Amino acid sequence: MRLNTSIPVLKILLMAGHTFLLKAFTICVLGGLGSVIGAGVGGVIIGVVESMASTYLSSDWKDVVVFIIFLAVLLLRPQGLFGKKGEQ
Amino acid sequence: MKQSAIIVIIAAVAALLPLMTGENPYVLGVMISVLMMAALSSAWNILGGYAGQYSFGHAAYFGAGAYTTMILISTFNVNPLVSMAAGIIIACIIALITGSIVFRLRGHYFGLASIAVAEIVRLSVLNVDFSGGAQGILLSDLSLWGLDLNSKNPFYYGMLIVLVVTLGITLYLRRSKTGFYLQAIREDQDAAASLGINLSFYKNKALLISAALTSVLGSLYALYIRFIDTSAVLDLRLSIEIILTAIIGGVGTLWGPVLGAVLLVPLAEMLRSNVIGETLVKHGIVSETSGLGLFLKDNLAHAHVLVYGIITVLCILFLPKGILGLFRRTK
Repeated sequence: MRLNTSIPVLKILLMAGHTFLLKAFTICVLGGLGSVIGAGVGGVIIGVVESMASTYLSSDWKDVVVFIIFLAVLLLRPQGLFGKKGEQ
Repeated sequence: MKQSAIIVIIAAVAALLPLMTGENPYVLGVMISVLMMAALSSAWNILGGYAGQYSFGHAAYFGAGAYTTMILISTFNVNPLVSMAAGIIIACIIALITGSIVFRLRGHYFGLASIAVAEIVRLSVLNVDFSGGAQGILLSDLSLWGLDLNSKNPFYYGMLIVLVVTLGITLYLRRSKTGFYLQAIREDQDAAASLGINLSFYKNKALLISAALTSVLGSLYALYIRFIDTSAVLDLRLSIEIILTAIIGGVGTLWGPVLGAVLLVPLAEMLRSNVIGETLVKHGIVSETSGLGLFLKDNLAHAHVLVYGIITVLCILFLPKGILGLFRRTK
C-alpha cells in the first residue's frame, strides 16, 4: 500500500475552521497557555481521546467528551499541564 | 423614578406601534426581532454588564426554554404558559449546574468554560432521541384561551412584556444591595470578597435571573417560529450576537442593549433584504447596470455578518463604552 495515497478525511468549506477553533483552544488550555511543549502534548492527548471516544463510545459524542475534558482541566488545573501558575 | 417613567413611556409607544404600521407582517416581524434581541441582550447585561461575567453560553438557556416548550407541547400537548414555566425551571437547573462549575474561574477562562458548557448542551440535544436531533421540532396549530397564536401580534406584545420586565428588573437591581454587590464584583473580585461579599452566591443569583429571562424568550421564540433546531436556538452564533448587541450599544447600562438591538437588527435586515442597494439605485446614486450596482445587488444581501464584524471592530477601537458612551461623560 502506498502511504502517500490521499484519502479525503476533511473537506474544505467556509465554516471548516469553526471545528478547529474551539478544539485548538481546548488543546492550548490543556497543555498550558503559552507553553509550546504543552500545545504539542495537549494536541496528542486530545487527538487520541477523540479517536478513542469515537471508537468505543460514538462519533456523535466525541466532541462532548473533549469539552468535558476541557472543563475538567479548567477546574482541576487551570494553568494546564505545562503552564506556569498564575492568573486563573 | 425618572428612568422607570421613561421605560413606561417607551413601552406605551412600542405597544401602539403595531396599530400605526398597520397590517404589514414584514415590519411587524422585524419589530418582534428587535424586541427579542433587545430583551436578550438586556438579560445578558444583568450578568455580563453589571456582574462583569462575560458569558458566551447564553444560547444554552435560550435553547433550554425553546426545547422544553416545544417538547412538552408536541408530546404532551400542555398549556403553552405551563411549558414556558417548565422551560424556566430547566434553564435554572442548567444555570445552577453551570454556575457551580464555571464561576470558580475568572476572566477569559470563565468565557471559555461557558462556551464549553453551551457546546456540551448543544451536542447533547443534537444526539439524544427525544429532542428530534438534527431534524428539529415542528409544531402545527397552536392556541391559548381562544387567542390566535398563528398571528404575530400576541408575540409582539409577549416580547414587549418580557423586555419591560427585564428592564424593570435591571433598574431594580441597579438600586438594590444586590446590584451594588454585583458592580463591586465587576470592578474587583478580590476586593469585593475581602469586604464580605459572597462571590459565588451573587454571581449565581445574577446568572439565574439572566437565564430565567433568556429561557422565557426562548419559549416565546419557539412558539412564534414554531420550528426549532439546534442551529437556530443553541448555536454559538446566537450567544455571540447577544453579546455584540450589548457591547455595541453599551455594556453595563440600562439602555445600551436596547439601543444596540434597535440599531443592529434593522441594519442586518436591511442588508439581508437589500433595501440599501435598492435605495441607492432608486435615487440614481448608483446605476443599476453599472459594476457597483450589480456588485451591491449580488453581494450586499449576504454581507450583514461582515458589516456586523466591521462595526464591532470600529466600536472596540473608537467606542469602548458603546454607542451610549458617546452621550455620557466619563466619570
